[in-house]
Amino acid sequence: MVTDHIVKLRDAREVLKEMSFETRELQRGYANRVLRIDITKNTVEFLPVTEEMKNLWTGGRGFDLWLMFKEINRNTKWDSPENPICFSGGPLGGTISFPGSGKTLVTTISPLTDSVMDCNVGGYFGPYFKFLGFDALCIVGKADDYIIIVIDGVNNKISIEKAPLESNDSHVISEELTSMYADNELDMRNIAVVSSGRAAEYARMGILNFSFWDWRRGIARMKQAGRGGIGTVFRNKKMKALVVKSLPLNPAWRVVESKMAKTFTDNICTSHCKTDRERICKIIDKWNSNPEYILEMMQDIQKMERYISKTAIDEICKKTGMSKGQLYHIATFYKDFTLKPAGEKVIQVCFGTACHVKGASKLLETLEKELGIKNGETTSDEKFTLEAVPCLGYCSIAPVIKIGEEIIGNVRLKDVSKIISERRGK
Amino acid sequence: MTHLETIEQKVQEEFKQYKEMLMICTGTGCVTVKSFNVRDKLSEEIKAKGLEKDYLIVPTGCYGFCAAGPIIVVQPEGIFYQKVKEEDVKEIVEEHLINGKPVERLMYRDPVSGEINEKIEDIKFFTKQKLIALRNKGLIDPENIEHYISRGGYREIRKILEENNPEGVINEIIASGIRGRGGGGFPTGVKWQLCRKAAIEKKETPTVICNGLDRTVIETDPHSVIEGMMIGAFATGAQEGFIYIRKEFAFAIKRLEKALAQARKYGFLGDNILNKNFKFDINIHLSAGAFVCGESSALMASMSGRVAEPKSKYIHNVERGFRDKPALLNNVETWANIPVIIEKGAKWFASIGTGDISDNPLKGSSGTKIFSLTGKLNNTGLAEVPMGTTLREIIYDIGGGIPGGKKFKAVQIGGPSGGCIPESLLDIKVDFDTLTEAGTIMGSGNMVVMDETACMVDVARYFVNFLKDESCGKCTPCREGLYALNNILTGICNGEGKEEDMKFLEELSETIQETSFCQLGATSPNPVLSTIRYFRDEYEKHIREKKCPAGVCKALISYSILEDKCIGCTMCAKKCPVNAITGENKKVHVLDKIKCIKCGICYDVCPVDAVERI
Repeated sequence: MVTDHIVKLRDAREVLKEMSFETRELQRGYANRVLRIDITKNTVEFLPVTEEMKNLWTGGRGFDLWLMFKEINRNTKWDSPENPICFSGGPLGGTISFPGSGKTLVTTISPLTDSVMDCNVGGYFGPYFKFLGFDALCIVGKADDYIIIVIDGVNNKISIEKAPLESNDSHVISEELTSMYADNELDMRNIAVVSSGRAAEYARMGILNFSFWDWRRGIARMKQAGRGGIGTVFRNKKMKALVVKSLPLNPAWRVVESKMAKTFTDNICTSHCKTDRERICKIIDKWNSNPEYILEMMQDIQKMERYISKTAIDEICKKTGMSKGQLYHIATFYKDFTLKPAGEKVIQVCFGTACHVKGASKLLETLEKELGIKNGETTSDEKFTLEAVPCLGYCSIAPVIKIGEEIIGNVRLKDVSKIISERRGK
Repeated sequence: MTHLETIEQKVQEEFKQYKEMLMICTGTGCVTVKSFNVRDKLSEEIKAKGLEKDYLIVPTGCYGFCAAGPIIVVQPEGIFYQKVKEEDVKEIVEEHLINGKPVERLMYRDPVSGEINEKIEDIKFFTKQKLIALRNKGLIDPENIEHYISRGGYREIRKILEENNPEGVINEIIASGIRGRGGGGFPTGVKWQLCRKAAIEKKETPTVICNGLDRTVIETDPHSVIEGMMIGAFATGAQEGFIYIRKEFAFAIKRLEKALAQARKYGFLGDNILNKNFKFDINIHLSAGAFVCGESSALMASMSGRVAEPKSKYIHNVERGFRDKPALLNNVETWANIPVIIEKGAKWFASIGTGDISDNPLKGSSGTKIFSLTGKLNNTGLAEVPMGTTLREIIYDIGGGIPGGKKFKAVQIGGPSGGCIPESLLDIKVDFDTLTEAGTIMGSGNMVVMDETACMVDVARYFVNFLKDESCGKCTPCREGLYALNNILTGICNGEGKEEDMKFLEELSETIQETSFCQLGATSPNPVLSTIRYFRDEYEKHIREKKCPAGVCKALISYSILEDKCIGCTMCAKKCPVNAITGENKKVHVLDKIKCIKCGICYDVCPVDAVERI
């Protein structure tokens, strides 16, 4: 595997910066960190992923744009050192559950338009990078000499190295680097190389090549991020290549057998789509998909999920043939249903006549003060939702509150904080 | 299929083996004050003393006397224990069961005379009642079908199946003069007849539906409802029945499911019932919380899995109701009355109540009605009284009067869209017609008693606000009219009332009454109209003098401390949430009216009534 040629290449290297890192398990599709490498200053740092990024800048393209937004200013041109190249696969990147989830989004300021552009690309880089526990990569700065960046998940090292002798052609350097970092022939599948060839130095439409090892043919094949001239920017930064070495996924490599990938896919599937859908379908089947029992279905769903989700509406619509408009009408008409998740326990304060006469509004005020929320809101820890409801039907023991399934009658104002703290502990 | 009489004999023999039976109330009211724990403790205690062969514990349905829960009644003596806690159980077992000395401490004390009522038949709350729909309350275990059979249950359906004369059944119901207990008061028998006619003409199978938005009967005696529905199904030719019940009544639903399963097991539901080639089964539908579901066509829309909006009245439910086929909808209480009417005859039933129904069933109110007594009363709970009982009897004898020596002010009857009745009308005899005359409705039979601390303008505003939120929004008079009523009433309560408001309120109310789509809308201005009718002076005080006589409307009252009464105990200053009261110990305190948020805490805590509310 390691030929004399490779040894020669390796010996000519000079390590500019080396840093160790820990791989990280994914939580619901996110590793919650971004890798930022500055090749002018030769620094490597980890940035946190904020909730804002997840909610507002969702997906690979979103993360990339957010990173760019942070790096550039109004004077940044394509060849400015601060122009970043950002890579991200998004929360679904690397799962085997969805078509296209192996893709990576790459953004930069384009040499052709001098404006922000994005491009999506296949190859193994995106998934491997994600498996190591990164949500996005941001490369800024400009090197003095040609360098490569190596992210080695086996030895847990990130390094920036001077690489004077490596080939200037993508199809060659991909094979050179794959051989250099693979332990054996089988291991070659675990290497992904991102590179750009010499043409990118002369034309502004240079492309980025993302390699994947084709074990049947025994060669490194490539997928291209071809739009807008990202390769030109890459080359302009004096980068020869970016290498990721993934954890050994031997013997026969399949994403599903990689422990980390499995955690990743499992997390995503169980929490969001597959089982939710299954559970909802089970409920609908329990009522034989009979449109007469839509209220009962929704009640069961509300009880299980604590709200009527879009998924639920979709499934009921599909299975019963009722229109979505009708279903939303029902879900918003009846007081029992909410379109937003309620707290673990719903505190219902009865505002029936008897309770009103016995001071329900004062009781509600006290509860609002105790929980620090207003009527209709949910506490920040998602434990309680407070709501004033019409008669609960327990007039003889007014005033009444209902916490979850439990009815508490003859509630006195001074007992409120005790009642809440007891239920909070449970 | 076991013979009904054999079951009855078996149950009675079983009861005879025991010296006494301990009936413990497991209605929702008592369960919320932990009557199940008391029951468990009781059986534990009885076992510990080795008395399980002499005493039988029977969990019963609601006694209706929820204010006194948890309740234990020792039968056949009838000794009545109230507010029994777990720690009291030992005393009952040792003193009463073993030593034969009833525990006086736990007995009921009459709130007026202060006497101790040892037995259940001494307690006015019970003696003034007449039980038809709730005939088995406190006497049977509602979760045991055999108990129901032993009290004569399922005989009537057998009788009418043997006679095989549906028209005869309908005529009997018409002759009894029973009117729908759900609110409208439409003669039940006439409804049945129309339904049967429509079904025969259209050659369709009707459905019988029970409006179970009132849970008491279902919790107390589910089988009487089932039997009533069977009779209705036989009379109209239905094969399928539904009970529509609120999801919140989890306990009632559980009981009902159990009862239905038992009825199927004993062959009262299913194909070929009692070998008479009669097919019938009942299913449960759950409501999802909307007040308008009480309206019949809205209820059926909701049952079909749609939004509960009423439909035009010219399409009768008995012709095109549920699934566009004839449907027979009655309230639970009505259904529970049916077996008794068949058993004892229309004449007997018609003899109870008021009015002569012999030529026109709409001319009187026969039978009994269950009222839910709530609000400022000593004995809150449920009471079944004959039609024609006066309000005074219901409130003072059964309800035990107003607690705390306060004065009676008004009683609001019939749910949110009922009207308020003042003291001067307390002697009217309660039936469908007198209540309508007095400006309210029978409705669900809910009575809310208010004492002098209630402000009638605020009460009207409260009900209108509730109805405004619950309006389904289909027709404009109800949706927009209630909204406008609410704005005006809120204005009056906030001291922004204008002289012309009263007239406008009345005009608007009349428009809503006349032009609303369904009964919910048409009755919704009742609270406003009745309070204007009987408490006009209170409205005028709010509008002209900007004063709230009852001291409820915050914007119209202010608090101050009377210098000559204040003893400087610092109670009020300590409790004031905004530190509006200042003053040193043993010195007169001062209230800062600008800071004051009128919460009234100082008024409540002052031991010498030195805080004045104007």
